Amino acid sequence: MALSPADKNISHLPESDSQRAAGEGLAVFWSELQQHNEHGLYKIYHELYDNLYRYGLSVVQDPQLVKEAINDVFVELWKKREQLIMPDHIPNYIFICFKRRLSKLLGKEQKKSGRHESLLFQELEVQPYETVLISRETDIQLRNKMENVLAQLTARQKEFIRLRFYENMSMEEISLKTSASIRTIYNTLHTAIVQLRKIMSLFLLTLMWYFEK
Amino acid sequence: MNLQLFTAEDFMLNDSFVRYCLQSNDEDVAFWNDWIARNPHKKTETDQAKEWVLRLGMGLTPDEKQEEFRKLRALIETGDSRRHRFSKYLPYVAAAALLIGVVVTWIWKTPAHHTPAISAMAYTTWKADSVRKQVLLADGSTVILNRNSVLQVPDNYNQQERHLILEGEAWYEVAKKENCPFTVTAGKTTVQALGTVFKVRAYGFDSSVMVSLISGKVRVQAAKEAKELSPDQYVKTVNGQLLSGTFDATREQDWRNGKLYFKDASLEELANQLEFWYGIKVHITPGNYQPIHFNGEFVNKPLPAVLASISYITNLKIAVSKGELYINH
Repeated sequence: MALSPADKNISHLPESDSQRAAGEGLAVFWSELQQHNEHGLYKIYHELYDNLYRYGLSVVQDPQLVKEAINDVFVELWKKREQLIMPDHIPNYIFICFKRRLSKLLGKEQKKSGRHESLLFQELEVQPYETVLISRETDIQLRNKMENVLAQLTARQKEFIRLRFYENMSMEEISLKTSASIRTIYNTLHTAIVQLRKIMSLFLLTLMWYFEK
Repeated sequence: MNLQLFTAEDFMLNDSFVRYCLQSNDEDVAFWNDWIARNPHKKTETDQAKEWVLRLGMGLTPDEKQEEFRKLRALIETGDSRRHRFSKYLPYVAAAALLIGVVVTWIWKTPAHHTPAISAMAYTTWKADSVRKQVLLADGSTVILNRNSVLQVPDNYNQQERHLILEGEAWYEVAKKENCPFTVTAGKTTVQALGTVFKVRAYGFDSSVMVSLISGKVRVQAAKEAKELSPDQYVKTVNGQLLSGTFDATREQDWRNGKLYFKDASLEELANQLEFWYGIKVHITPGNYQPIHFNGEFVNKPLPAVLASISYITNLKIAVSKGELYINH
């Protein structure tokens, strides 16, 4: 399958050694799928779910829509298992299917809400980590608070939080990537989390106090 | 590293603890479950740490993920799904059935008035593996072959006689034809019919053969005894003898129409109904089960689809192993 220029920015696909080994395992699962064994499909699903979900959330801040799109992609794969060939890169292939599905669902939503413009081939825009994190808070006040707290953190603190908790990299991997020492990373993260938690929990406490009154 | 001094921040920065939160490593999950159970005074800290790990990671919690996976499974298993499931056993089953069929027919036919030539013993075999199958015979009779069943139709069917061999379960709607008896053999039991609707159940997992008459008249010949049935009556073979009783006609009619109902069904009713409906041996693993009240209606659904719905709703674990069904809590 040819990649269009728009499909190049699949930055959410980690390419560390362990992931590459997992990619080879995927080929085995894929051939199980082709042999009508649904367990092959299920294994691929478990393998890729987190990456797909995170990517989806960074494009569409709607967990329900993202979950739906992921399951749709896998149901579709199962239905078409007889025509499927082994793709060169299974995660890429599934990611592209997923992106298409997301655009389609997004188009439908927009149609429902009366926005008709540019439904065809709209490019999915990846939002930065912070934006997604803020959008996850459904309570408006909490969301504003989160926004303020994050604004107080330094760029480096935010970067480490993203790498550790969102990209799920180990301290060693972060150290290799950013050439900061593990000690520094640890301390930076520690201060950042204390700050985050302090402000947020204080806010939650006042909120509770406010409601009790 | 003294875990007793850990605050929520420290837990969050512990790789093993993060793996526990994401449930990505069984050892870590086991370790922290045990540790938290032994240190209840730290539970507030660990709970907060876990909440923050999940919040900053923005992934789904393991429970939410499991929920999504169950949805996917239900979707996959209600689709066309497993047509190749039994294919690997079929040649053996068919070969065995053929052998049994030949022997039984031969033994049974010998004292009869007309003995078919051995050379005429060629069969057309109909198999229903994961879904039931409807077979229209040369004389216009209809046979509905239940799941996991094999029907043998000799090539000389409908010439001088109409004889069928069954393994498993089938419903027969026999076309009237004078001087051409319709017979079904299952194991050592033979049913003779004329213009009737009846059902024969003779699965390998059940030692007895059961014949239910819906309308018309049939004569059942077991090893030691013979009996004529009237509508709504059934007989069961026990050691070559026949035990009779009456059955629930609506249930049989629903079966005929492919409608499977569950109304406030308990675990036992669920198991019983599945065994009746799909001709599969059902085992309930002993244990403490939550009370179940299952409601549902399925029309012409294959077994995997029904199982997916049941396990999705009741949370029961249902597995099929070697052609038998195991229910677990």
